[in-house]
Amino acid sequence: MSGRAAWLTIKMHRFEVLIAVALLALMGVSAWVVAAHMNAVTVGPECWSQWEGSVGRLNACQQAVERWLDVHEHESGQLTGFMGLLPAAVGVVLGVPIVARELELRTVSFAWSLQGIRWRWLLSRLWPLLVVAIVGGVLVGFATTELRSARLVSPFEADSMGDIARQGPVLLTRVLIGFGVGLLAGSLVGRTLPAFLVAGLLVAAWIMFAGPTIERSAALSHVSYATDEALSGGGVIGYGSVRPLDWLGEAYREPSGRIMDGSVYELACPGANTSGSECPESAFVPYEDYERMAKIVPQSAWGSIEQAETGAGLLVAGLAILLTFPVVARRRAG
Amino acid sequence: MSRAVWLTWKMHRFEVIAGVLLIGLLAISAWIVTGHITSLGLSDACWPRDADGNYATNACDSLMNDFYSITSSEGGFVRIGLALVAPIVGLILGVPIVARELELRTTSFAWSLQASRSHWLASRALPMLLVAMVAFVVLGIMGSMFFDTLAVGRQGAALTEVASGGAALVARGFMAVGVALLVGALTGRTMPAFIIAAIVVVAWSVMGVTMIQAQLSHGWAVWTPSNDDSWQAGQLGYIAYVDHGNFDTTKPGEDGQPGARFDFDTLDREAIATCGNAPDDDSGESAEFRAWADCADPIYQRGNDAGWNLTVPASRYGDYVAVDTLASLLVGGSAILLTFPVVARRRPS
Repeated sequence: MSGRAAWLTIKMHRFEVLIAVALLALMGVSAWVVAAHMNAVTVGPECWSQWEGSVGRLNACQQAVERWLDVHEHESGQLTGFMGLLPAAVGVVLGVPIVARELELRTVSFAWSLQGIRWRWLLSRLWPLLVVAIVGGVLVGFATTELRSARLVSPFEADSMGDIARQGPVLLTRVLIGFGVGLLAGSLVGRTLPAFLVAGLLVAAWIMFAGPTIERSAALSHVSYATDEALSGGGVIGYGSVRPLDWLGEAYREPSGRIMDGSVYELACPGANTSGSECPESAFVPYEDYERMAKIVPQSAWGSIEQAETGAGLLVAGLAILLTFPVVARRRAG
Repeated sequence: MSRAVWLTWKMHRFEVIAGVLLIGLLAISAWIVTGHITSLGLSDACWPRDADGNYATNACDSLMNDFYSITSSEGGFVRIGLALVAPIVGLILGVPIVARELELRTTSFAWSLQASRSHWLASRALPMLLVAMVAFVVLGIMGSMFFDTLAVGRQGAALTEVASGGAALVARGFMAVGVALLVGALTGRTMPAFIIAAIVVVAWSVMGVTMIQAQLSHGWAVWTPSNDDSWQAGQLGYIAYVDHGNFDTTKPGEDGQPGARFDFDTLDREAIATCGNAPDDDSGESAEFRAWADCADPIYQRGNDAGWNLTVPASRYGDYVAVDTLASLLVGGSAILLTFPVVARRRPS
């Protein structure tokens, strides 16, 4: 736990620390600068509805909107694309070599013999890089939250489900998941490059499959319904008055007011498709009596979905880090 | 030599297994998706499409729906894989060849056993290169078959996919092996070498190749009228877009342009001179406005009809592939050759 141990760890892994700090700084500073650019363009509230596209001669109000959109499209759009994978990749870069490199170089037998208990050795190696990951992740999380706030100034913009993991606390947990999984994979595999590839695959699977599944599950308790009319109009320059976080499917409102999921056919003849039986004509409910609606996740669900994914991410990262201790305790040194 | 091959396999078996597995999975996937598309039985009889976009028969409409369903799902994944996997496997196989032994500090012993370091490097690099090239050739063949099959639905590879099949895929993979080998020898550690080599390969594939293609496109582009309806025949008119302009072909053009640049102010003046100023009617529905529009529209239409695109014909695709292949071979070959003096002069730790 001493300062010497921390210094030794940083020295051993200086390349990884440099790369991680550089990438985190690049992400954080870029997000902060782009947010500042967007905030610097003052657009009056009445101007958004005046903008009709980049055609013809624009008045001062429309020019301000045009400038804001330009910054948003060229700077913010490109940046958020990197926020999906890069934070987790940084975590993997920091986590993998902590145990794997010393196992690979066969220096652990000497290091373990100097320390009374292996978990103390692991802790002394772990915490300096974990601090780098947490501090970097927090700063990037703050900067991306700023960017989100700057983006939502415009009524053209609305959050979508995919944005949740690209900012704030979820972004921090992505760094920590990469770190934890990288650490565990490194101690299991005992070689840096293979561990890097294995951890990379696991983290990519989390980002592509587990993360969205958790988001969907959390969203299911916030489902609401919106009419086609509300989704397609009533907002500024043709946007809908309702801007969902996500679409979950179709629904129909009966004349009685009851809302039902799925197609009219399935409502009329449940199971007819799969059983192969004919659906009698009389069973069809007149389509025009039903109002077509969309099953949506409202913007208000953002907070609880974010909490669910943050909680799940912290759990996985924490478990991976904790599991590394018994793995190291029982592992052969060579 | 066989002992060297055995030793290389023993040292790098994880990388070899991971690389071969990745390539094998993708090659089999490409082969299966190719089979799915072939089994649709699409034929040239489905073209041309009518002006509304319908294919020749209703059956063709249905077949094309199935075709798009395959290409937008499983076919899309295969396309992404073909673009990414060969360079990734090249990095995995190339990085540890020198870097791992330097990192484990076994090179001083290994170098003392060999007469020359070049000999040592060749004995370590050639088996890995052989494995990589065989894997790339298999994937290249599968990639070519896949893109050939897309042609039945009149879809082609984009310019960003020049290295997704055939010789260009093999060359791109070879380039990644070479860069990874050199960076591994320079840094002497596997993970940093993997990260640096990955950055170099991505930079080359995204920026280097794009810059070369942009230069080629400017040289190969020709002006063609923009109002052509070749989409109905399903033929991709061009592979790269460079510029657009409106030209008056009755007047001589500059720098190979089909005519003098159209001056829309002249059209404005001509419309005012012929039809008068446009009536003040934002709705455009008054009889007075419609009469003015009937008079002025043909004048403005002349300008709209005079649109030309500066594009590279799709028939040039093979030339892009050839240049990409040569450039990748050059970069990869240079990197491998440069590794020899680096290893010869390097400290063993």
